[in-house]
Amino acid sequence: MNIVACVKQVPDTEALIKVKPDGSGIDEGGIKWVMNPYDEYGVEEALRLKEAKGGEVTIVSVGPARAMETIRTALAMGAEKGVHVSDPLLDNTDAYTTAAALAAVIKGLNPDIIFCGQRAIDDDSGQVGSILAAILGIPQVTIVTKLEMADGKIKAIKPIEGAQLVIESTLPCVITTQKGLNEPRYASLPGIMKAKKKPVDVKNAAALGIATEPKAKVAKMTPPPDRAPGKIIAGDDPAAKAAELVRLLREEAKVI
Amino acid sequence: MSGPRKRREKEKEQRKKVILNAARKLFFKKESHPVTVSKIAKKAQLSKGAIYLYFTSKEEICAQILLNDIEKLHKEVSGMIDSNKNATQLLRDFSYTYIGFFLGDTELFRILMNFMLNNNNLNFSDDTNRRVIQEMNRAISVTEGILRYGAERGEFHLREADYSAETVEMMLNEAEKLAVEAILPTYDVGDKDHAQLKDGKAYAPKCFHEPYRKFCEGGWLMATKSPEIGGQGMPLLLWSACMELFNSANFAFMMYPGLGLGAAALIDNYGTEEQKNKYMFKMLEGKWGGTMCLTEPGAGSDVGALRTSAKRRPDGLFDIIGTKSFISSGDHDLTENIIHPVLARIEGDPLGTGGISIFIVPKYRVKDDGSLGVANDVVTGNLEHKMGIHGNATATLNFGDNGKCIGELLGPERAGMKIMFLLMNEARLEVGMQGLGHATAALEHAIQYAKERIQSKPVWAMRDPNAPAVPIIQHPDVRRTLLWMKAHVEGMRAMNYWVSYCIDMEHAAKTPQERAKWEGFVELLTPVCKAYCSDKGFDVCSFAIDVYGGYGYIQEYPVEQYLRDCKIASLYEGTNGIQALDLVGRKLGMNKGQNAMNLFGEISATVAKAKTIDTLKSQAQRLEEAYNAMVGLTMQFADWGKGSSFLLPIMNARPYLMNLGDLVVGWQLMQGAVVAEEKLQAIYAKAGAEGSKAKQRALARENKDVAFYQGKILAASYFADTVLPTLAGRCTAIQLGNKAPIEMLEESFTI
Ligand SMILES: Cc1cc2nc3c(=O)[nH]c(=O)nc-3n(C[C@H](O)[C@H](O)[C@H](O)COP(=O)(O)OP(=O)(O)OC[C@H]3O[C@@H](n4cnc5c(N)ncnc54)[C@H](O)[C@@H]3O)c2cc1C
Repeated sequence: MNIVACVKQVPDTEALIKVKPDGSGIDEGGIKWVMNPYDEYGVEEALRLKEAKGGEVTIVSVGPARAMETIRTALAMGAEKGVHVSDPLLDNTDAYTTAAALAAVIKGLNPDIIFCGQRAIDDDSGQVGSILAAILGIPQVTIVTKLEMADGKIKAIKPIEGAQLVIESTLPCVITTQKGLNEPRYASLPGIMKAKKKPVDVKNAAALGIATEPKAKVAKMTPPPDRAPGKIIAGDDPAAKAAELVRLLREEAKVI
Repeated sequence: MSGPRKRREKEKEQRKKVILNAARKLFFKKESHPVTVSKIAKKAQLSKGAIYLYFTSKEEICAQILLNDIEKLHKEVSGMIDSNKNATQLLRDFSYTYIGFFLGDTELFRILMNFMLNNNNLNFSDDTNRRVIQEMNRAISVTEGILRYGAERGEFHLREADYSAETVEMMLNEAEKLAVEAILPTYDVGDKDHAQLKDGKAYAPKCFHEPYRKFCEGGWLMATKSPEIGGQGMPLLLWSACMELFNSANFAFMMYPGLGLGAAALIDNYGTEEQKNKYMFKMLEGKWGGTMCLTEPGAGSDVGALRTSAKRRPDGLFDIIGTKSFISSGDHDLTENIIHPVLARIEGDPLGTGGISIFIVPKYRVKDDGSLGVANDVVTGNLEHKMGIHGNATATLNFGDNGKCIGELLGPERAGMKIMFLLMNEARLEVGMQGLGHATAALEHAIQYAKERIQSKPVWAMRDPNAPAVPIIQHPDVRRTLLWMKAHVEGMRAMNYWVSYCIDMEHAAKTPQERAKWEGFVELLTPVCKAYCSDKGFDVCSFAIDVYGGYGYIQEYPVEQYLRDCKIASLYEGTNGIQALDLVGRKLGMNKGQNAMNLFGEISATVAKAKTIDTLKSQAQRLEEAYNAMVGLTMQFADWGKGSSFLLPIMNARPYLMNLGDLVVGWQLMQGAVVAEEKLQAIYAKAGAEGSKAKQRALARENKDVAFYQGKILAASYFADTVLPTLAGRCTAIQLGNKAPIEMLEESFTI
């Protein structure tokens, strides 16, 4: 089997995010970078499929030079090879261009199945997997928490409000992964040592023949407003204080 | 010189030679220990009086016996010991100086003691005399093993693997993930569930199973092993950094894989190919566990007093009979088998450490095809109820109660202590790392708590009734406590890592001289790492409780557990008292004192460098003063060692060790500060913040690196200005030579 897992490098969930003063994006100084947690489920599922059915896992990532660390981490977990689309023209690009770059790489790989995280925790756009499937012209099942494969088909479970859908699809297809699908493994020490020797192709936009002009642009980024300080109701009479509280809840906070 | 006088002198020399020869012969005849003046007299066919006659003072007798022909003496000793190179080197090194003789060389020390007591120089009552001898014999028997055979370091850390910065970072990341996500959640659960014995079966806390599996699957057991046997050849320096993370997460847990690893290393170094195939690989995969079985109820510090015996069987194996107590990870259900390296005496072998052999004793016998056979009559008598490390099973193991416990010899007969010391030296460094691990975790918790706990107005707003209470980290006393903790933790970290680095360098050394230098640092600092980091680590945990206030004492908060778990580090692997004896009695004098001189040399180089940096100048001065004080005290010890005050260095060994620890920590912190200062200046220059304190502080608020480096410098300067100045005073105090603890009658100890 030919399996592809797409990964994105994102700031650690515990990193303190600061918006650049000009609002053009986040300040990357001092940030620890990790693999997008949803992509970890994809890598793990890809590795399990390979271990069950044989084949090869290829990791594909679009991102600046530092994204190589994330590809190596996936290789250390057990994937065979990687493709790194690295081009300053693609830094912080939009979902469509990212998906187009991924598609250009993946077409040449002839995969049986492609994994993407259901969204990336940095911009939360949640579109790349779907656009990728559309460009490749293959089916997609999104937000998957359970996956089985038999007779050249997959059966996936996708939770929806109050129920779950059981979806069957032919191959090849795109699966976007959700928490609960599996428990991603840690990279082992031998894995880390071996990862250094595994091949990673580095390609730029020109080599892939894709347009680099994004279709959507971030106009401005602003930090969420500071929370207003709490209000303490002064006074000695508990009944009056309670009345004042009700008034404030009704008139100012408008919650009752 | 007149003719007759000359002849008399010649005769005297002749007699001396006869006496020395007699003493030496006795010395090598095992059964005649201790060597006494009476025995020497008998052997030399001279009267006791004649012996004193030819040596004007007791010192001279000793000096003559010890120094007269030391080369030859050591050659003979070397011949006695199997052709182990390292051991003979160590033997040759250890006793070139008096201090080494008096405190480290047990047999010679015994001769000395007997002379002293026979001469009644100490003016003790007979009863006390006897007790002094007893105590001394206990003290010595521990160092005896080291003395006789030396500690041999294995060759299994190959360093050929390629460790790029990227690899190092990835490994640290994975270690942190494993520590935080898999191991840390078991910390309090494992404490409450603790190891248990039910219907004769021992269980580790349930929650340990999953992280144990992950630890093994991740290949961590094989990290430092040679690639030839499937390991990663990880440098020890990096391994120590990973271990600090694991230990901080849960040391009681780490003792299970840790002891398996240690026991496997013994087989790796001394086992036959057959034994390696039979046991070692399964242990390195984590399928089977391991222990180290030295202690018995009557043999703790004094390993030589052990009673466990080994009876030869016709098939070349041995029947093992005896009881071992306090065996860590001694019985549990994390692995399907447990391999015990057991110290025991083969029937008929001499008493003392020299007669001890080491045996591989599995919990379940192993068949030729590698599968498990029947139980090997190793029965767990009980698991101890302890102050801390509840998650680890501390077992009493009864070997051969039913006469069915079979062990196989590991290495040559009577080499048990030498072999076990390979494990013990590593384990001592690991126990130092345990102290550091608890301290690190306690510090991190304390800092976090101090930032969150709101209590009391700041002192400058005391009079203002409307002033809000602030996070306690704003109170000067809390800040001082936290900085004391931080300085010690970072200093201990640097010391432990540096010793690991020395081991790496020892293996990478190209010349024997270079190798000896690095090895010397390791030898010298192993007892310091063990004892200093366990004691100071405990202090750090205690201060963490102070920072928490009453909540620190409550079990819902994590810091009281660190304190409980940390205490054991001062006790096992040789109590800290024993560590201090090892340092003062043996390590200081090793290599003619060259190891200590090399260390002092390194420190003075850092002083010189720090003195050229304006911001560190005055702290460098403090370090230099502390350094001078310690050199002075060390010389004093050597001096005392030569005379009738030779008990003073023994008695003061532990404060000496703690002083040396402070000096090394102060030095390591200063070294860090020098680097931090260079890095900071470069950052300041780039940001245009040179010379402006306000700009530099502002920079630290937004740039983590700046905050980190500033923290390093402040911790170093705080330590230099508050701890180091007390060192000179503490050295002076020891040099006053108060002998009250020795002179006081035991009757007077009771109140
Ligand atoms: C939780 C736990 C786990 C342990 N794990 C293991 C293990 O895995 N394997 C193992 O073999 N052992 C283990 N031990 C045993 C441990 O190593 C011993 O308890 C320790 O060596 C001290 O021996 P002891 O308890 O008999 O104390 P003692 O030897 O009776 O010492 C009591 C005191 O006298 C002092 N003292 C003794 N002799 C001298 C001397 N010559 N000079 C100066 N002071 C002296 C000691 O420093 C100490 O202060 C463990 C112990 C505990 C509590």
